[in-house]
Amino acid sequence: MTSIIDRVESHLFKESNLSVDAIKQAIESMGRFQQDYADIFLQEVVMEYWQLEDGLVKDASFNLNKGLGIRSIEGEKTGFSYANQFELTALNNALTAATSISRAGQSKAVSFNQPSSSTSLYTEKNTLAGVDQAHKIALLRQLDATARQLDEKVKQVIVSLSAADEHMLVAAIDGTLAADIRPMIRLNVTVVAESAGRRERGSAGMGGRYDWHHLISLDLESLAKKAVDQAVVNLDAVEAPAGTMEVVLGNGWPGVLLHEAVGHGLEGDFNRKGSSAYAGRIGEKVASELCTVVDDGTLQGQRGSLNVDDEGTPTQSNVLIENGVLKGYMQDKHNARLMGQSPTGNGRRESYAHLPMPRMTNTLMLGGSSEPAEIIASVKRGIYAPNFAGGQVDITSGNFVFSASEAYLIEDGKLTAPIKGATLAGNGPEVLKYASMVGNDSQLDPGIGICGKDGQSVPVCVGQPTLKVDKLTVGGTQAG
Amino acid sequence: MTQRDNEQLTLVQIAEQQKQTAQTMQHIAETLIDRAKGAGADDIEVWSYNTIGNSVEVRNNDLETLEFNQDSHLGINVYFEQRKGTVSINDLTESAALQGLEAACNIAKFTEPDPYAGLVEANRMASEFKDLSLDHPFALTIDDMVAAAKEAEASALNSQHIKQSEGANFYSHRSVSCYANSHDFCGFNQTTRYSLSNVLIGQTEKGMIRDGYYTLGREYGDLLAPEAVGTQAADRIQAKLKLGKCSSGKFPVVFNPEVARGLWSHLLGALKGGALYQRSSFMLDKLGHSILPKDITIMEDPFILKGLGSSNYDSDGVATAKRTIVDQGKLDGYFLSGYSARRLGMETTGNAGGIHNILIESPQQSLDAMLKQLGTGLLVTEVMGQGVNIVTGNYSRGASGFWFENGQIQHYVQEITIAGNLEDMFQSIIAVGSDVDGRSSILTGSVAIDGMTIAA
Repeated sequence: MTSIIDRVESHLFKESNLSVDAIKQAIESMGRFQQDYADIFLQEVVMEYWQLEDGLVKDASFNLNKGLGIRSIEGEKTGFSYANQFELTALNNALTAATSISRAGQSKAVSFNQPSSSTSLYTEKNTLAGVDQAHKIALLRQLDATARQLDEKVKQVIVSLSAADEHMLVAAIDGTLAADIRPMIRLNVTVVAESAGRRERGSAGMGGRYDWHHLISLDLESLAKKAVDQAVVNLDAVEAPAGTMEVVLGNGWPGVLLHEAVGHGLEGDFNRKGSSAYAGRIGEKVASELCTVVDDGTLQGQRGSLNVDDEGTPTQSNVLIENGVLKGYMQDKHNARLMGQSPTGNGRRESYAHLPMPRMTNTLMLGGSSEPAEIIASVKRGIYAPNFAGGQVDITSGNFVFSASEAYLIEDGKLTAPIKGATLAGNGPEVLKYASMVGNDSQLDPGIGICGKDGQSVPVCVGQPTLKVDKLTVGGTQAG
Repeated sequence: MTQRDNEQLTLVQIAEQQKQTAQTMQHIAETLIDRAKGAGADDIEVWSYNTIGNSVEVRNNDLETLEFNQDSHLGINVYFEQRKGTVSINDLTESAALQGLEAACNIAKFTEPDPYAGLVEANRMASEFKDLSLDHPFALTIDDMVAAAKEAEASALNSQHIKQSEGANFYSHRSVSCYANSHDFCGFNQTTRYSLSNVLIGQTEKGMIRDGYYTLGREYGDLLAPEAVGTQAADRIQAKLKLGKCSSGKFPVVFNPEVARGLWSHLLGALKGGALYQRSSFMLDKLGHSILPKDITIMEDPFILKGLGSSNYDSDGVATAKRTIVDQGKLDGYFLSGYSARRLGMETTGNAGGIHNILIESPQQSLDAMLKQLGTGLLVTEVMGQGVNIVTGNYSRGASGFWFENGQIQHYVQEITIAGNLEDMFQSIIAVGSDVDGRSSILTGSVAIDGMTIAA
């Protein structure tokens, strides 16, 4: 069997005068500069998208993006240039620009690593290979019909399917030579329900690094049901309370809490620059001892998983918080080198036209010992939030928010009325100190996360068990 | 295209190079329209852009990042008997474009007929192309950009209460874009954009705080001086150093201009055709109704010279027009594309691709006068999170800002939330400030709203 490098080479360069040898030579030619690091990243992403609205599959698109990015680093200084052609002249021009800030130095020889032939975390087959267009359309129609049958209040249904296949290859002056073939599929259902003059939207999605055949083996009807339930429940939602109170977060997607409150603050770049509220706090207790949080890029088929990151570093499972104690940062090569640490497989970039940064992969809290029902029963007055629209953090102050899209009042240990969406606010290094009960039901989100940082989006996954936090600010409209 | 792309070019040289790019775009559009017609398509539209520029980041008086940006895009919609196929690629070569067309035609075999699909009528295409003064190439070198960024940072770090700089960033970009369709419409836009920003970190007893300032414009000479950018950023940090608390409850809330334009964008978003025909808007069936206090009028003006939202035509090729959106509190118009207009049984308003410049007109008063009038409340300077539901108008955001009493700023407050319902909030606007911020296509001053819920 050919190596992954050969397979990606033959795919990327089939109509081009580039080759892996030419890339290696270009890297070697950069050895004449006095730099600490240089790399060339080549990428092609092919995406297909189908959308149903009003019962018709009338929007479909095909998208192709490809190009190469070249980076040259000396100390804290980075030169970066890119081109949208797999072509030798374009490569050389980008190389000249990226090294325009580099000083001449002693020529260094580069010896490239032999890539190891480990097994892949995901299928290498094209995500939608051999699937009839008619089958895709039939799937969207079926979900549309399901959603409409579930409740007559459903007035509008939008179903979408997207599938992307990425080929990437990276070579670096430290001898790295790596390639990867990455699938990504995503299915989404959004509904609008109307009753007695009120309207609500509900939305549910699922996906990951797997192909069509795996997708259709999953329980897709439940996706439509989740979207419909969310909209219909919210039709009866009452005003949310305002103030600081006990909050129970559901398992799975509410792990967006960890992503905002903990994850971003532990990314290496912010800590190198001293701009994170977590900077210099390794070894400190930042959470209750019930909390262990990891970022693990090695999970089979998950949305945030990668065989190697975008700098060619194999991903790994990184412990961020262990029994409440802050353990480590997530690093790319640049920040790891400047901090005297090792890269952790978290160097990611949105595309060839963006610089890599330390980013999360799949970020999750390990399960504890409490039964979810027991956790809810323990709350006198608070809220239960099983679904969120997303979150945001200011890593410098540590202040973060995440916005519930489905939530319920808890009164005397029982779920009572659904409440209107409310933003929950807290402070990163403080919030998990108030984590008082951790459920035994840890679970990853269904594969819907998109993380934004400095204008770059990358797919991620989050997860957690049902979790009780004794003190969070709930941003409803009912004060007192 | 020439292959000198990646030398250190100024926008003057980039503009010269993009003359050739514009010709290539026109040639590709004509070729694709021709081929699509030959392949039996009823209609086709082609849009493309090419953006080239440089971006530098300086931190602690050292160049940290130098980026050469060069992005291209080509999009194609083909229509066969109301079936649509869409393709987009990041490549402006003819061979890639032809492959793209083939893929688009192939997709259109499988999509289902949509009675509302297709181009807008030929007589609605723009025919007058005013000079909107959007293109100002200037021979600014990378060294000039680095020097300006360093100057901004140095002036900020002069203030003793700054812990560190998070970086000063300068970028200069020029774009050329083309939209053409099978009505023989072909339009071009050339635009430049310059920006300088500085982000700082300050230290309080309770931890670090971050803030910054930026200047932005179509013409280099319109930017604020680097020194002023640094000073403004430092002043913002200084204002936040006195941290305090506020209590939960219902209070008047003033949104500063940067946050206020976000607030207006929720209203404008709810007036877009897509949200309306999907019945996903809190502004359904409100045409002719009072949605704002009657001393507020909202205008859309696509023809503001150097405007960030200025354009002679929209992304359907339709001529844009200056018009009233809200007339003395009454909703007078939506933002419709050709498609959403057909869905709603209305006429396009020239808003395919988005909303142009927006002017908020009202009897304006100074921010000081607004705070005095309100007495006690919160001046919001930042909001966080996704807690805006455009379907219901439900609004709940993380916030930080300044607590004021007797019209005087008392201290900075953070880690709080503000909540309300957008429909009520817009009805409860007490005043719009004269402190209009020009760094946006939504031109608004501060907005004061009565009776929002604060949770602390």
